[in-house]
Amino acid sequence: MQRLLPRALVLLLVLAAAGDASGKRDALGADRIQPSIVRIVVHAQRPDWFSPWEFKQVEERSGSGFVVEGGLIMTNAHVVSDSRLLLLFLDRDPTGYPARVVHVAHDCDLALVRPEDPGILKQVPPLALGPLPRLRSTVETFGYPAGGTQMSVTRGVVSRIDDQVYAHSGIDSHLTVQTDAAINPGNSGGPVIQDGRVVGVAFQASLDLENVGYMIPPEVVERFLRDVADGRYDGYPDLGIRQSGMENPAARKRAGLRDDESGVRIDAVDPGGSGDGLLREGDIVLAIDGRPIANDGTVADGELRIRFGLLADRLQAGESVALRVLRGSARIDVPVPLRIYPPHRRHANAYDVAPRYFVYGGLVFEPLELELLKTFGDHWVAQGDKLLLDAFYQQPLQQPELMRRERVVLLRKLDHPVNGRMAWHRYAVVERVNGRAIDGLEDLIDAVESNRGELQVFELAHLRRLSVLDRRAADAANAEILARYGIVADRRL
Amino acid sequence: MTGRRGGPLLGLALGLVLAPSTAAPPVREVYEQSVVALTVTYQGWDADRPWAKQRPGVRQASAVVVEGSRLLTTAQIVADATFLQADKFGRSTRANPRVEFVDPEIDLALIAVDDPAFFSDLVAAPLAALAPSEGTLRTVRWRNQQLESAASRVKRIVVESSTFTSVEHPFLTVETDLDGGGWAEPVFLEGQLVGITVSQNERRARVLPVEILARFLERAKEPATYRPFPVFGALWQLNTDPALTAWLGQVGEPRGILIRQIPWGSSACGVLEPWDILLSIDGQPIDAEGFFAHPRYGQLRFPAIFVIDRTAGEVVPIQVLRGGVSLDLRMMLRAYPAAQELIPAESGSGAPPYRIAGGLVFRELDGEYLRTWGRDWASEAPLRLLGRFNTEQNGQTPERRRIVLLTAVLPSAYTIGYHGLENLPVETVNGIVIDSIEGLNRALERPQDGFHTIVLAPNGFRREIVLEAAGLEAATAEILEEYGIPAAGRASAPLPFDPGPPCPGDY
Repeated sequence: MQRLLPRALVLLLVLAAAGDASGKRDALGADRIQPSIVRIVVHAQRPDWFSPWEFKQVEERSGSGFVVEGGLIMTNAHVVSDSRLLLLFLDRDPTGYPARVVHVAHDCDLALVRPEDPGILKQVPPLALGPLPRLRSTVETFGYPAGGTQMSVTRGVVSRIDDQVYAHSGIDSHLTVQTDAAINPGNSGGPVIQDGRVVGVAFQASLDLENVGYMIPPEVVERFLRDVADGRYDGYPDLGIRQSGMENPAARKRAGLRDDESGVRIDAVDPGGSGDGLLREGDIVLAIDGRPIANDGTVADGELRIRFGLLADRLQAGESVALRVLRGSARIDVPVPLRIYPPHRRHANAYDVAPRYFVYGGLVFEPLELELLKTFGDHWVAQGDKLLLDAFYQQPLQQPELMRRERVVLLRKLDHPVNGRMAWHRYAVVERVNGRAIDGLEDLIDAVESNRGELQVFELAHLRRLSVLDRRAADAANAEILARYGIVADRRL
Repeated sequence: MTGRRGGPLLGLALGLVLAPSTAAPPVREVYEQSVVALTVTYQGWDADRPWAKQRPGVRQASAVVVEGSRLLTTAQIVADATFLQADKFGRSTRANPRVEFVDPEIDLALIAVDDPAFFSDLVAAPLAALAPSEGTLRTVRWRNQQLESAASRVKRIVVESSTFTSVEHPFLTVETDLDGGGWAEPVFLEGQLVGITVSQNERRARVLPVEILARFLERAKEPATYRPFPVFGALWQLNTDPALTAWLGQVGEPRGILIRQIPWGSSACGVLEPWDILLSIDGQPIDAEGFFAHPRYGQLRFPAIFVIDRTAGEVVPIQVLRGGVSLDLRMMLRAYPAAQELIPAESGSGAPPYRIAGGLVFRELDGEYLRTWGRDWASEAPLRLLGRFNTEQNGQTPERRRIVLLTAVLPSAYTIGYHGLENLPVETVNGIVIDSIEGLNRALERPQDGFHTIVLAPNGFRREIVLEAAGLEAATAEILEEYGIPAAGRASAPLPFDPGPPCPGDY
């Protein structure tokens, strides 16, 4: 399930820069587990979406991980993302062993890492996955919090199981287990153990609540492992619908629900998503895979009630869910083959990718995506350009077809005589170039480069803003502008 | 420009008119006898709970006596007034002033005092013919029974939007020695009124110049046929970029301004088109940054042309470059009051229209409401509202008068499932497109098959609200009782003027 609106409530548990050794040794039956826990030190470097040809300072962070079958180490995606150098430290071994990321799932914050020298794990027993821990049962978390080089173990009870937004991507929400066992920065990627088996991967903590840490439950871990079994991580498919509850009796009555029926109303269907062509706005979804959906959108799942979309979460792209739908007065069964919906990733935090961009006549163009908006600073929702935020978050709600398109933003201008008197030159979605509607960065580049006219005319979204360049002057100035501003290449696609 | 006829002050006033530059006039008496202190008790409406009023407050301000035994002050001073008190000579009097006429667009108000004796020892301040463009003025007010007369040095003349509205006109900006001014203090030069302050930030005060005051006073003599100050209205941008002007077919140095968008009912509607370059107005050439050469004040932004010497309804010649061809056109000047905006930045002092239907609270989106998000409302208000404000503020058309919001849901059993919804624009009710509280009221009289169906603009939370029509009235009555709300709704105020026949823009 994906949510496309910004929110911030959790702390990711990597530790920025290692500090003094202050970890503690705990003997809570940990001796058998301890050798399988590793400390991961990562030197990472993020690109700069404001100057997309540049990268920021290298940062050092540390997290935890544990050995699984196949000579691999499981950890969080946020521990290893954007890594330039990745070092593994085994239990009571001061040597840092280089490793590389084999699979990373930014949408569920999991990763698999392999040491460059597979021999170092020969003597290390892999940990096995256990079942979902029961509510109120006791669990132990293992890891290297607070910069310690010695392993730490803490104990707590499972206090809640529900779906939460995974802060690493910021838009994906999956089943999550909450515990009051102390989970601190540096714990990220460490295993949560019950009866000698892994029942969760520690990954984030609440900023609002005390003693609340979160772990990724076995079903999410298993789904990740199934996904990568073919050697590639594909990611979560999505039903591609927005829905609202039917708690109000009048809504149920008007929809024609019988007293023994319940469900949710489909409010929107993502164009090109799994439900496109199969589901319609106004459909009432009564059941998923035979399980009745309550009026608040939940289904019974063992001892839990979970959002019905989480059932689709357990599947891989290409698998189907069967929805029972009330459409008008007909009750019909609709099999929905699940697809991944790449457009949603523009709303997610991006990792392990460098920004796409194009510089022409000193104008910097980039696709409209979350990372671009984050260049407005830590409080980008408040401080960001409101027209751009509106274009990103609100316009696709009104015009869903926009979801399919890569929209391109004129981000800013590198000052040069060729563009010096331009009236509009930043934070605007480019609607048309030389009269041609733009669909994606490549399309914009083509519209610019195939133009033989005297002028390059950029029509910007909202309020009929216009920017124009003298084509010959801009063509002639390009190389000089790149050199003046230290830009190696005019584009990255 | 004279004092009241009769009485001992006539000679003084005439003397000012006839010989202003002779021996220094006894200006202090003019100040004492023409400046009054105004105490305004006001109570605005609570934009969040539009059926209720905010806590009352008090403004200490000034007014100046003008011809016809009236007091002149700014509209903002008397906004939401519940009680007025005018004190002369720094001492409280038993007069009962009342607001007689207000033009919130230009930010001026006339106050009448029913007791004629009030004016017996007062004199109308003589109006200067023109506001000065340099020199030292006196800003005057009563404070603690003392007449304060502070030096205010003219810095420059600027053309800016009126305090709360889209009327752009010249202001004098002065650097003043007065502490905490900006509350409608009259500003004089050699005993003649040259302006009234409308705001002050530290030492910099903005002064509404006498040219505007004089025209307001002249037109306010006939309130029924008051001709408002005209507004250009179209969205425009600088035309400084030679590449852009080349694309628009302009030869030579860029000049004139580039028209981008034209609101319905604005002066430019039906005359200007997007991508026109407006070259001159009333024979005055406009440069590429929107300035024209004013004979006394130097370079001023072009809207000053309309406001100083023109009224709504007049026709001015304009010259336009359209598709590379120069055209001579005629533009009828119109007012563009906030009420004509799709999202009025100011709702004036009017009570906000609203409707409560079974616990659902509806109101029209306007600046008052956005400002409930505090000083930083422009960044703190919900994006879905700010986006509309930033792109559609002037987008009113005859078919789309206002954006109606579901602002909140007062919880009750009737609205179960909808609690927590807030600040969501409404698209339709019972199949009828909603563009005002009146439209909403009409639509709620036409349930379909026993249900009310409210469709919200796509928002990511909920698209549709369904309520049982039969229960609406009882549920509303219960909500009013439960939440202590005096009435289920309030109608919109009528437009403050006749907008004339619809004039198409390009929204």
